[in-house]
Amino acid sequence: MADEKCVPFDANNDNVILEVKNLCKSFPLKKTITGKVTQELIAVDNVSFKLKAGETLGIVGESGCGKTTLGRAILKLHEPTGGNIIFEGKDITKYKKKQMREIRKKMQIIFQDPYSSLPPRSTVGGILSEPVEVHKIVPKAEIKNYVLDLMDKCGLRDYYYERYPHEFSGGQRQRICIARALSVNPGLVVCDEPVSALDVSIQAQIINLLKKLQEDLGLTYIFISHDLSVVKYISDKIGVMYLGSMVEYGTKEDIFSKPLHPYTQALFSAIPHPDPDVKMNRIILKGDIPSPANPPKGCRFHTRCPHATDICKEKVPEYKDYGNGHCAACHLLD
Amino acid sequence: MAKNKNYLSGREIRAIAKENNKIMKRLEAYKNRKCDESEYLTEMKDNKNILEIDSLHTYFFTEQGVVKAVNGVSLNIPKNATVGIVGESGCGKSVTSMSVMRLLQGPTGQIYSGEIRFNAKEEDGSEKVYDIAKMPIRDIHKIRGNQIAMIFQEPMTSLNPVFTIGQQLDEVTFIHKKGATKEDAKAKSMEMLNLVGIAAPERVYAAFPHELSGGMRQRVMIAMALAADPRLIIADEPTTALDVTIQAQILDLLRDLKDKIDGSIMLITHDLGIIAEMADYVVVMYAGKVIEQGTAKEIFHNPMHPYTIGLQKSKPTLKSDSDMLFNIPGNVPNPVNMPSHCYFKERCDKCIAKCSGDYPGMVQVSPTHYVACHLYSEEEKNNG
Repeated sequence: MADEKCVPFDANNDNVILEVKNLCKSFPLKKTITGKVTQELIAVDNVSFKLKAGETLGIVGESGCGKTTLGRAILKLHEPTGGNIIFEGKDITKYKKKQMREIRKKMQIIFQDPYSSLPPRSTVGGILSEPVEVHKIVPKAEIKNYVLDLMDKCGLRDYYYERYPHEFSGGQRQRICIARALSVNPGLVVCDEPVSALDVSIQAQIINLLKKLQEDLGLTYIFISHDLSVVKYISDKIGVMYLGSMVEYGTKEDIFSKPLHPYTQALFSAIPHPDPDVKMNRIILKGDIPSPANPPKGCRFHTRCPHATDICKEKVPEYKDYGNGHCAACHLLD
Repeated sequence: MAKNKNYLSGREIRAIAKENNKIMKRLEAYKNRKCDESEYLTEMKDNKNILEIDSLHTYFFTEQGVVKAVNGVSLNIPKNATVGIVGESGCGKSVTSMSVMRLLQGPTGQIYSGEIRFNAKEEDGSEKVYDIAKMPIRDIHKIRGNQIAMIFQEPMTSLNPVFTIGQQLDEVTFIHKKGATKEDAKAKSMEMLNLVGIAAPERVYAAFPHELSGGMRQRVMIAMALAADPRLIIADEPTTALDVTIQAQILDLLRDLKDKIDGSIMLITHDLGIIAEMADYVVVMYAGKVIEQGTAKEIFHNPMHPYTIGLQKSKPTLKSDSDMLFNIPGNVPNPVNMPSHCYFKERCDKCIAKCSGDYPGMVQVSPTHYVACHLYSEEEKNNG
């Protein structure tokens, strides 16, 4: 692996809220009796990017490509095994739990499944006031009003305050999850597949809510999803991941108008188009995604790539900037 | 405080249970009866169809009351066509397919009334029409798995983890082909594995389900469905659990297979993109009723029901570039205690006075296009 990876160039560096440098995360699979790791699963491999405040970074990829692990490693819910996370100018990679507590206020997460991520035994009011209380966001006497105000912002009626999560539908529950994440006034919110468990008509409601909240509160999102059309709709920047590494990164316009990496091209062409007259020139990838525990040598995509050459099997392609911050890792582009 | 609508008193629950037990007992007895074949033989309305569903009512008798999961669904599946059924979760699309397969979980789930006419091909080549809804459960094996096969949503959980793929595939042949030997069964299984594009059929034949990836498992499920040469394949969300690139592979495979096996596909999904790509005819369901049906072109280019229009607008596409997504406000109504007016009224932005009246009937817009909405019946009256 190359030591120095290209970090996308930003003209205006002042406004960067999050910078991720060569972030790695691996999980041990086998250990010897002395505790030495003999086999590991590299879930996130050398990922770097910068994110400006108020922007949305969409991360797309198939299951097992490490997009969720990346999101969690950024929040340090998984301890990264390498690289740096610089949040608001501070390197938080080596922060202890106690120091992280202060940072947690500023970075929050919305989980995929609204059915299992809410405690069934507390009321909506309880769920939403707990973080406010723990992080001392407002004085105790004002908590209830603060929470009611927050519920209103997220489209929840005030009489829901005394209700329990099981009384709500999936879309309403996801609104509660969003309200909970926003209760501590975070700057950065990681949305880990927030709409994939919801129906189409409810999806649109939640996406609109997320977008409106971003405009009102100036939030920065990392939006993780496998649904490209949703990602395109909400993101400013897009990162495409395959087997743990970022294969392409750029602005939404660049990625969609001229995708560089063959994987990105195949991914885009695989989306079914809701129009019976459009017959897309589909690039159908052969085979399955290799196991991340035993990734192929060289370029990780070469086993499925329609344009693979000999060099792809041996050398790992370099992640380079192809102009205007549009980065990709592919031998074919040289 | 007003009485909580979600709360049922003990007396009410007992009354519901008593009523339910009475009906369930009657329907169970009807299901388990012994009877002559002539009792459920019938005629097709149109010989071009392979399956005709006529005002099907499938109810679930729960403790909270009767859930009318399928409430008067009528649809036809022509020969050699793909019919897509689209709708959100809870709209009854899966229950419709389960009713056709007679896989409803009894005694709670029951076909209450309606007809499901299926044009079956006998071994000697002659055609017989069965009314599946009337068939006693002991005779259903004549059709289920044999003439109608099903591909389930979750390839991870629909294969038996303790048997090899080969054993599970061979079983289909043993059950449906009388007097098949082990060699016959294996030959058929290998043929099927080849047909669904598995590169190393020998290895997969001897493998256990956990050794295969999701895409491979779904291919095996498809092979299993095809093993008995069915006339109709019901694919219930066949790609929901799969990744986009794998989904593209499976859809491609299904399209190829339809031509090879000379059968029909009933494709159930919530993804409009998949429907547009695969289906010849589209049926849109909402809260247990069909609200619009027509050819794929009619539904996608000229959607008429406000729900269909909303559904299409609320899905962000790669081409659209608007600021706000269109969204349908509110939620699907509670399946117990459905209102008597149009179920979509509360969420509809085009309501007219008539919408508070009876449930709208089907209006025919073109020879193949039907819609259940008062907006269009009104128009007709004005014109006529």
